[in-house]
Amino acid sequence: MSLIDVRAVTKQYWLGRTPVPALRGIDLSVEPGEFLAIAGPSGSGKTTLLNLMGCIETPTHGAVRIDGADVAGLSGDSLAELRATKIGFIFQRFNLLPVLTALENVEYPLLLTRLPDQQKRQRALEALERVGLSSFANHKPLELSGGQQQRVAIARAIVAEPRIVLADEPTANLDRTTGGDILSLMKSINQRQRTTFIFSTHDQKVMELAGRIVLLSDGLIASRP
Amino acid sequence: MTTVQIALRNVFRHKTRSLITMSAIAFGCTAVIFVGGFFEDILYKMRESYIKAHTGHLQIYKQGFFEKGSGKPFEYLIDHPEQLIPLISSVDGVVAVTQRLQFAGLISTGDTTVSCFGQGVEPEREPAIRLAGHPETRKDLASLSGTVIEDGEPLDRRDPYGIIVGKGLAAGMDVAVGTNLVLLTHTVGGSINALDVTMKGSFFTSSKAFDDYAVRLPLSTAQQLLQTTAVQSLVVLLKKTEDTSRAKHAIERVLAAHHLDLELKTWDELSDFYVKTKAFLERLFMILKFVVAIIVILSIYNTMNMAVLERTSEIGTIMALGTKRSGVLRLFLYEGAALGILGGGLGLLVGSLLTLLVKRIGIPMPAPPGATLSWLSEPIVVPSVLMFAFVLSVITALMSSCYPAYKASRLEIAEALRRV
Repeated sequence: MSLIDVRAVTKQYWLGRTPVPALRGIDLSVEPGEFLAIAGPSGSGKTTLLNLMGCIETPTHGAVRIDGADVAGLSGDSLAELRATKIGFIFQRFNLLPVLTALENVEYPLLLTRLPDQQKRQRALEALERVGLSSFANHKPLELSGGQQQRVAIARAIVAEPRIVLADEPTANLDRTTGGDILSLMKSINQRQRTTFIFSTHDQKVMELAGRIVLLSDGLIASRP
Repeated sequence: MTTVQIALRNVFRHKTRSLITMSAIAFGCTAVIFVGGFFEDILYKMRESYIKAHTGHLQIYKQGFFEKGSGKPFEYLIDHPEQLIPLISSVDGVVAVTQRLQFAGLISTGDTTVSCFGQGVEPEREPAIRLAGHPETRKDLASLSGTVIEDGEPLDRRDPYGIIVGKGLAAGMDVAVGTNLVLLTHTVGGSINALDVTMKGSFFTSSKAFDDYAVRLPLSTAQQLLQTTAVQSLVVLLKKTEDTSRAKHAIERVLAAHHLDLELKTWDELSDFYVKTKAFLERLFMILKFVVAIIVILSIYNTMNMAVLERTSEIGTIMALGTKRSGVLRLFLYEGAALGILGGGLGLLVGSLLTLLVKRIGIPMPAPPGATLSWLSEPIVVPSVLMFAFVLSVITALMSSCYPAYKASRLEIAEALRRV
């Protein structure tokens, strides 16, 4: 059974009274442990597809199954629980909470679990160590560079040991070298922990690291290498 | 780390804005505490002044006096009052019991004759009513004392024909200390009787209407004039005004046990002006509380609304990470409550200190309506008002956070994440 199963999915937004199709019929299966790139130009539907797989949007038509469960039938709270336990997110603009330190940002997803406080802190420290930032634990996001912030975001995405990590253009706001480092870090976590990574990009260099590339064009899958 | 800690950090992320919001709440809170304390002082002084000058804490009359006594006052007199005094004095909290006999009559200098209200009192007991528990400082004279002798001497049992005349009445008749006067009235039996008296002093109380019309004379002299040994009322003074209700019930039990056909009235039942003034000030205070609530609601609403707008992307992030909508709602409500608690706490501190400072200095006030004397306002820090001001701050802060918090919790995650 696929970890993620996207079947005949369409997504349509409305600009006033004008319908704007973002996805026009997507079929995609993602297996556990994949390192999958969703590539395509701006406006091709990459972010929308990631949002659907991350259960933060619902399709207009079609079905999305995560670990066998059809997300269409789930309530808002059940979707939140699904995201908290099975899915980690990495964003293009890092999206760290500015009032929290690096360590507290990493710990945040664990606040939603019932782990003992001591264990939450311990796991957050370990995740921060895995991304090589344990010495920056008490720094606030604004005291970190872009690359460091994205590393913290990666630690936050993996701290609850989700099966899937979704990364929307994770290197777009970083220089080429830092972006490469971030991708390598993601790849090493993917290989070591068998965490499934799905990331969107339009950068050819980044695509080269992917195990599989799904190319989107105008809301449709253009190729499935 | 908990949601409360995160909420507190969010409150302090824009220090200036939060400080302004908290100051607005603190200002409102201070206004409630100060005005509440100011009104409480007015009511306290008015109450104590009325009690000491006119009503005492309790008055005991013959049964039926209040219903029918105004037309036939002498049919409702208390015979042998001296037997009642020890019984009533034995009740816990009673400081003094004094007898009074009142009548309407005429007072004349020979040239001028005017109507007056005579009040026969016990000189040796009335001072207790006037000054009990309060040192006769100048400040007390201006605010607390019930009856103040302005000119001459107070009443003296050993000088039965020396009377004191209300300040306004004395001025109207153009009489001074030492003037010989004639008091004329109906006796209890219905005949006319007159008595030569001498003006011993002039007095004033908190009621100008009373001072314009009243004379006071020793009880024995009033009884001689009215040709009776009875009295109209017994006036009871208690140690503490707060004990009035308890003492009333205790005295009623004593009277019932001795099968005495008497009725009791408390000071507030006898002070219509006080009761109405209290209701009026309470209404004014309610309007102030309402205005303060609006200030708090608007300032917090504005702050919370700004926070939701600015943090839209952040809200999208925490929801993407698995925070439920109820969690977002809770976070923003905690932030609103934190602003209310901190602003309210600051208000308690500033309000209490300001009230204490003003109490120390005192605000000179003009004479209130119906009175002759200016007075010194010394606002009181009232625990119930402190409690109310704080609860008002927190509840209104929570109320005004509800809509922004709800709005935050209903954001569409993907849409929120797209915002910068």
